[in-house]
Amino acid sequence: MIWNVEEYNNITVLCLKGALNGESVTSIQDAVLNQIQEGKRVLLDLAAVPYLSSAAVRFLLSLYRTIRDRNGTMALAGLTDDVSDVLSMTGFLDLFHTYSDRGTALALM
Amino acid sequence: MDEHGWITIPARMDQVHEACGFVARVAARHGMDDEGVYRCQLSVEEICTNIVEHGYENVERTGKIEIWCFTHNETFIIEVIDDAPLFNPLGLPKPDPSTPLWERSEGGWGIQFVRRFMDRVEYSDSDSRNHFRMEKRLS
Repeated sequence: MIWNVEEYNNITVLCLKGALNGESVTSIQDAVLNQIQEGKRVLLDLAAVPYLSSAAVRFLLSLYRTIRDRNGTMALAGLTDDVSDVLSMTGFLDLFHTYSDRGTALALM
Repeated sequence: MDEHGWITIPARMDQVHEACGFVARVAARHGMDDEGVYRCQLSVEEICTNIVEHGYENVERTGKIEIWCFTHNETFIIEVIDDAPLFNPLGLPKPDPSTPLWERSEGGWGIQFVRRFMDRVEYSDSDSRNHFRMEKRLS
């Protein structure tokens, strides 16, 4: 699991690459949550994440709670069909704006 | 029963990917399409993760998990067996979708994914061991 954070026009883009499962979530969770700053709009780019397990859904929920507690907002971009399917099952997609890709998101956010 | 295979892994988080990789290889060799392979892999991960996190949670020694794969009547069958205290994960209540996401407890999704991704799931406690069986049609 590779991840990085970039800033565009006051939007924090958090990009994850690789399968997001119990093992990879454990390795990145604390470091990623520490990157969330007060009052930011955060775009989570999942275009390079082929699948999510339930551990990943729990991680996304922690991420969402952290962003909300720091008065920010969160949006999602680049969901593959499998990732979208899993997130819609959990009710996650009802909560967030989703964009087809990062470019579209940055233009519209 | 046609050709089959099995693997035993230590019940540790850093070993779960071994089980997933094994199941993916056997499923692909038996003609499962890519989407089916992915769903089998994810389901095995969910079951093994539950066993590591909850099954063996209060057991002092590190346990083992056996994963068996075989095909029967064009169906790919995965059986996950462990010696943790007997527990039927299919008896867990389903998460309530009407509760706001941020108020929900964080557990219970894994078994829902497995139900969704496999065609049939079954639990038994024969021989005083946990047997979790998952089936997926090959065609």
